[in-house]
Amino acid sequence: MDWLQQAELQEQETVSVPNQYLTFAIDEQSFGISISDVVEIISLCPIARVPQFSGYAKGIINLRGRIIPVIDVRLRFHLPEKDYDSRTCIIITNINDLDIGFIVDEVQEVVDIDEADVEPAPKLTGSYAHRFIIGVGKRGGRMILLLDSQRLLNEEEVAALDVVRM
Amino acid sequence: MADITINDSMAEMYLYETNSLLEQLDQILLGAEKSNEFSKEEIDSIFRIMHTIKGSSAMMEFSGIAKVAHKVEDLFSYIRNNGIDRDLNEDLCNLVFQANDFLKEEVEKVEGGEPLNTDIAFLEESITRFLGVLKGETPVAPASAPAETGAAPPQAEQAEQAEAVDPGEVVIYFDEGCQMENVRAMIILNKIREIGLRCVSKPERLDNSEEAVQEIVARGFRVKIDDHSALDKVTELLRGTLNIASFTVGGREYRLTRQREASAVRVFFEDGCEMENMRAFQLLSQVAEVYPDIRSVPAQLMNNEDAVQQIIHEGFLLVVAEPNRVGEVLAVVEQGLHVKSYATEEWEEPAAEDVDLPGGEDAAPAVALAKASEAGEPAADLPARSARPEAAPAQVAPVQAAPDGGGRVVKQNLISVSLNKLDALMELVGEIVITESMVTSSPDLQGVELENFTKSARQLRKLTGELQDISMSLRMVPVSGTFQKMFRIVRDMNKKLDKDVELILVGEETEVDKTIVDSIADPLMHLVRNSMDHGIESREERLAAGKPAKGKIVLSAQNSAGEILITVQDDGKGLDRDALLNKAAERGLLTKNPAEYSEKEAFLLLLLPGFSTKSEVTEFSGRGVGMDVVKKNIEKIGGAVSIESKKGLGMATIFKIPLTLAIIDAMKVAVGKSILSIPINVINQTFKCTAQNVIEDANGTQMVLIRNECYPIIRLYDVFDLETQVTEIEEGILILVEAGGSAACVFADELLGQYQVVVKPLPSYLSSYDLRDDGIVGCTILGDGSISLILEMASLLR
Repeated sequence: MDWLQQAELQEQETVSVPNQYLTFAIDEQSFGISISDVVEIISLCPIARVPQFSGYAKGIINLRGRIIPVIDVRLRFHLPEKDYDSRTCIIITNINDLDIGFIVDEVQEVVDIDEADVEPAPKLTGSYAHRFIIGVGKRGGRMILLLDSQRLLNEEEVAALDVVRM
Repeated sequence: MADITINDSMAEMYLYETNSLLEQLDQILLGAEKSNEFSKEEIDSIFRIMHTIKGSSAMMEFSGIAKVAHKVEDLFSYIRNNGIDRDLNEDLCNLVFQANDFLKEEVEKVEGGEPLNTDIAFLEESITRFLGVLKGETPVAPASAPAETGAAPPQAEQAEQAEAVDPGEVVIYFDEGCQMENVRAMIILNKIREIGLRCVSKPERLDNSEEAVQEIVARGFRVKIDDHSALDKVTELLRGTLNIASFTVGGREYRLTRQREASAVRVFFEDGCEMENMRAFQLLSQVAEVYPDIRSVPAQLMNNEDAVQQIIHEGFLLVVAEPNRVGEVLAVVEQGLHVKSYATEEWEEPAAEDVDLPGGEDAAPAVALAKASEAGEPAADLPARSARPEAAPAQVAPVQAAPDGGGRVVKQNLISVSLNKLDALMELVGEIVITESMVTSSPDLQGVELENFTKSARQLRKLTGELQDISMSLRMVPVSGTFQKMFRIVRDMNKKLDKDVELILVGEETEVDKTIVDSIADPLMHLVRNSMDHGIESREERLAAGKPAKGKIVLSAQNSAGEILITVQDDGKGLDRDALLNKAAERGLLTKNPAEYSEKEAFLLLLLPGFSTKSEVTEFSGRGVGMDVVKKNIEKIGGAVSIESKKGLGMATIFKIPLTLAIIDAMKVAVGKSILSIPINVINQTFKCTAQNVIEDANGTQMVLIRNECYPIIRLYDVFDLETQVTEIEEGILILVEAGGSAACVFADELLGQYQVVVKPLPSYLSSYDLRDDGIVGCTILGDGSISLILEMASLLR
C-alpha cells in the first residue's frame, strides 16, 4: 500500500505536465491564458455595440452564425483605450460552456511553461491587471503573466477579491 | 452495466423508441379509461407496444424492463383472446398505468446511466394476481379448452371438466383471419356426417351467426363424436381440410404445418440504413421470440456481404411454417426498426424436410437457390420469388389498416435526427447565406457589368433562401406532445386528490423550436400540479363558492409578436395578496413595506426560492421548490414568467418565450452606425414629422399629435445611448408602434426596409444585464454578416 502511494507520488513529481499557454501582448507585456480555454483566434471583425453594456464589454460579434460577446482586455485592465489595428485579434474562448471573445493588441505564440517555472502572483502591485493574475511564468528571460480567465469574466468575483484584499 | 458496452446510437434509438411507445401507451390508456372500455384495437396496440419494449429491452439486456413488459404482454395476450369484464377495466387501467410508470422510471434511469431497479417482484405479483382474477372469472381459456365438452348437458359438463378429457371430443381451430369460420365449420360438420358418424357441435347454430364466428375463433369449433372408434377417420378428414390451423382429437393435438403452403413475410429495410444484415438479424431474433420456428432467407446473416446485397435487392424473407401465425410475425415486423415496407406472400418450400435450419455455413443461401431451381423455378429467380401472386391478400394480417390488396405496407415517412446534427446544419446554412451575400456584393464586382454572373447570383440567392427556410423549419415541432403529457398528470391527481378537473388544450399545434418544447415540459408539469393541488378547490368548496363542481385547467399556446405565449390557467381559488405577503414576511422574503407591494408584485413573490403557500407538503407539490425552478427554467431559454390572478376566480401563469430561431418580419432602422430591427407586427405606421407637430409637456416629454391622439416620442439614440448625427425631428423618421397595451412613436435615423430576420437569443453571458427589460429581445445576423439587435417594444414602452 505504502509503496503504491509512493510510486504515485513519484510519478506526480517526475511527470509534471507542461502547461500550454497562449500568450498575447498588451502594451508590450505578455499575458498567457490556458490553451485549454481557447477555441480559436480570429482577426478583428465588426462588433455590434449592445446598449447598457459595461465599458469593457464591447458588444457582440457574429462568428459563423454564432453570437459571441466580446470583451476588450485593455479596458478590462483599466488601461486606456487604443485604436484597433491590423494586429488586433479576438481570442475566442470557451469557459464553462460560455463562448467569449477577448480583444487583445496582438497574439504572440503558444508556449509550454513548466509548473516549476510558475511563480505565485506577486502581491498587489497597484496595477488593475494584477487582479486577474494567478501566476507569473518564466520563459527564457521573459515574464508571462498568467491570467485566470474566470476572473476576466466575472465582475462579482473580482469585487469579492477586492474586499478580501482590503 | 449493460449500457457501458452497448453502442451509443443503439441506446439512443432504444430510448427514443421506448419513450415514444410509453407515451403512446399513456394516450391509449387515457382514452380507454375515459370510455371505460378497451376496444380491440387498443388491446392489440398495448400488446404490441409491450411486445416491442420487451424485445428491445431484452436485446439491450435490461432484464427488469423486459420482464415487466413481458408480464403485461402476457396479460394482454390473455385479454386479447378472452376479452375483459367491464368491471375490471378500471383495475386494469390502474395496473397498466403502474407498470407504465415503472417502465418510464427505468427508462429514465437508463438515460441517466443509473443502475436499474431489479426488484420487480411487487409489480410482477400484482400483474399475476390480476391475471388470476381474470382467469378465475372466465375459466375457459383456450389453453385449457379441450377440458370442456361440446354439447353435454350443464351438469355433465361440470363433472367432465374436473375429469381429464372427453375422448370423443374434437376441437378445431381455424387459421387466423381465414374468415367465415361458421361456414367452414358447417362444411366440416357435413363431411363428418357424410362418413356416417353421428355428432353434435358447439356452437350449434352456425349459419349467419356472428356469435358463432366469435366463439369458434376464441374457443375453437367443438364436435363431439359418439363413435370413438371412428376418430381416426375424422383425423384423416381434418388433415385434408383447408384453413385448419390445429385440432385436437381426444386431447391429442395435431398442428397442421403444411410445408407446401407456408407463408413468408418479405421485409425491405429503409434505403441506406446500412448494416442490413445486422438489422435483419435483430428482426429475426425479435420474431423468434414470438415464433421460435422462424426461418429466414438468407439464413446466414452475420459476416456475410452477399446477404446484405440480397436483403437490399430481394428483401429479407421470414418464412413462417404455420400460416396462422403470420399475424404474430407481422406484428413484430411492423414494429421493427428501419423497416420500410413489408408484404406477405405464400412460400413454397424447396424441399421441406431436408432444409438445414441453422445454416452454419455461408453456403446456405446458395443451397436454397439450388433447391429452388430443382423445384422448377428459373435459376435466376431466388427462392423468395416463388411467391404465388394470388395468395398475398388473404394472408395480410389484421394489424394492417391499409385495405389495398397488394398487402404492401409503407411505413410512416418520418425519421428521427439527432438535434446536434440539426444545430450543425443550421450553423452551416447560416454561414452559406452570409457567404453568398459576401460573394455577390463583393467590392471587386462594383461597377462591373456581368450579365451571366448576375443571373446565376440571383438564382443562388433564391436557393440559399429556400435552404435557410427549410433548415429552420426542421427544428420546429408542435407543442402538442408536451401538452398531451399533462393529461396523465391531471388524471392521476384527480384520482389521488378526489377532484374533478378537466384539462383543455388550446393552440397545441403551435410550432416552436425543439429546445423550447423540451425546456417547457418540466415547468408546465409543475404548474399543472400546482393548479391541481393548490389552485383548484375541493368539490364541496367549489359548490359552496357557486362554481361548477368540475374544475378547469386551460393550457394554451399562441404566437404573439415574435414570442410564444404559453399559459396555464385554472379556475381555482386564485391568489390572495395578503396571504402571500404574510407568508413572504414569515419567510423573510419581503424587501419593503408590505403595504407598498402592488398586487402584481405580491404575485411575483411566488417565484422566489423557498416560497410555498401550502403549509403541508403533499406528494405532488408543496416542497417550495416549484415556482422558482419554473422561473429559472423559463429564463434559461430567454423567457419570462408572469402571474395573473383574481381572488376566487383563478390564476394564470404566463410564459413569454422568444421564438428562438424563429423567423419574424422586421423593419430595419438605422440609428447612427447601429442597425436595429423592430418586429413589423407592432408597427402601425411610419411618418415624417415637422417640429410644429411636436408638443412638449411640463416634464419635458415630447409628444406628437396624430389624428387627435397624443403619443410620446421615444428617441432610440437616447434610450440606447447611441451616437448619431440625426437628432432633429425633421431629419429622422417616426415609427408609431403599439405593444403591450400602450403606444408611442419611436424616433430613428432612417428606415432600411422590411426583412425576414432569424431571431437569435443573446449570449447567456449578457443575461446579467437585463437587456430584456431594456427592450432588447435578441439579435439577428444580417446579410452582410453584421449583427442587428431586435427591439422588444412592449418593455421599451414601459
